[in-house]
Amino acid sequence: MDRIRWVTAGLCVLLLFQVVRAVRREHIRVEYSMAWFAAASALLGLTLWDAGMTQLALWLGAESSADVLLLLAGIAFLFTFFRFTVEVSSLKDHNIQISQKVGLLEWEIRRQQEEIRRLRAAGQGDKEGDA
Amino acid sequence: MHAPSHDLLILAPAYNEEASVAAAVRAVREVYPHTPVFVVDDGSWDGTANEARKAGADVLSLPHHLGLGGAVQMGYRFAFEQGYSRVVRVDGDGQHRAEDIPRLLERMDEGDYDMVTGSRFLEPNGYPVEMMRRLGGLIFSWILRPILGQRITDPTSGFIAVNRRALEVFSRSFPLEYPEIEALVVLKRKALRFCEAPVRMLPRKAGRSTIGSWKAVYYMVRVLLGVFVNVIKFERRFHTGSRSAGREEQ
Repeated sequence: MDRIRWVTAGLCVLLLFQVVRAVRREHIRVEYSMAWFAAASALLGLTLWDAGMTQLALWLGAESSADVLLLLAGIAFLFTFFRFTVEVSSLKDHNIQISQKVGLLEWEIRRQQEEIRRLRAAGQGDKEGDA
Repeated sequence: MHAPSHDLLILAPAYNEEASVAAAVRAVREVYPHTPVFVVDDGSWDGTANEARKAGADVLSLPHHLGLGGAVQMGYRFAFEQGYSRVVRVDGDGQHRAEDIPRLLERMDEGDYDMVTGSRFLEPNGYPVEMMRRLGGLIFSWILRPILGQRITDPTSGFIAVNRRALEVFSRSFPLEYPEIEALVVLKRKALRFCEAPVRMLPRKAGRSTIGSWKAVYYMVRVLLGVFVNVIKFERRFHTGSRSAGREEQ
């Protein structure tokens, strides 16, 4: 196995280790770690599967299996990146809706509090008037 | 001075406009003393909300900064849920003259328009506009003309009056960043009617514009992409055609 594939395999193991650590420390939610696990495991498998990589390189017309590995790593990264862009967009939409809802609720609470203060002040005035 | 109004809301989105928001609110209240002025404080970290309240505005503070589109949509959503039939949006930096609000509303009533935008360029008014900004406006006007089917001279103006039909559309869907131009395309897509009315604008009382020179390129690309996305959403444009059909589509 050539050096680039050893390096890639090492990086994949490092990535898997990092993802496990992040999930354990709750820096990444389990559902979002799935894409990284899948990408790192698939790349690691391909790196170690020498015959398969050579066949794939021949089929794609690549000069070496390292080029194929680079291509696959790039594709895996792009897919993962795209998936998280969709997730972030969705979260941003939810965030805006929640923020607007919170703003409205705070406005309503403030209005109610002012109304209560006004009614109390009016009641106080009536009592003083009766006295 | 105008008679008490219960159907009109003056909306002023503001972000860190402590120095100018009170003057902007007071200017509106001088012309429309009985009309509620609603300031949406877009997560300001200065005293914008307090200053606006002191000047007599009703203030809704967002828990964090959403950007202009998020703040404006908040105001539209509020107005729609509270049953207002018309909203005039002015900037919290005091650039828009309250004296011009009747012009927008009259134009809206005359032509049964759903949205009327105040334009600096319909009539010469001596307002100083940076060359780059003017050039950008001209480019957008040129691009928008075939899409909107009409000429818009000041597509980036934030001095806007909308009626309840437009409020309903915007309370559900409103562009987040630099919303004015995309909003026109959204209205066109929903087969609503809009036009411009001539207004005068004043230089900012304080603070800086949200679009600095370094952001100009991003702004152009971002807005063009937003327009393009909205154009490809013209799903039933050619089938509906009529205004009534457009409303049913909503």
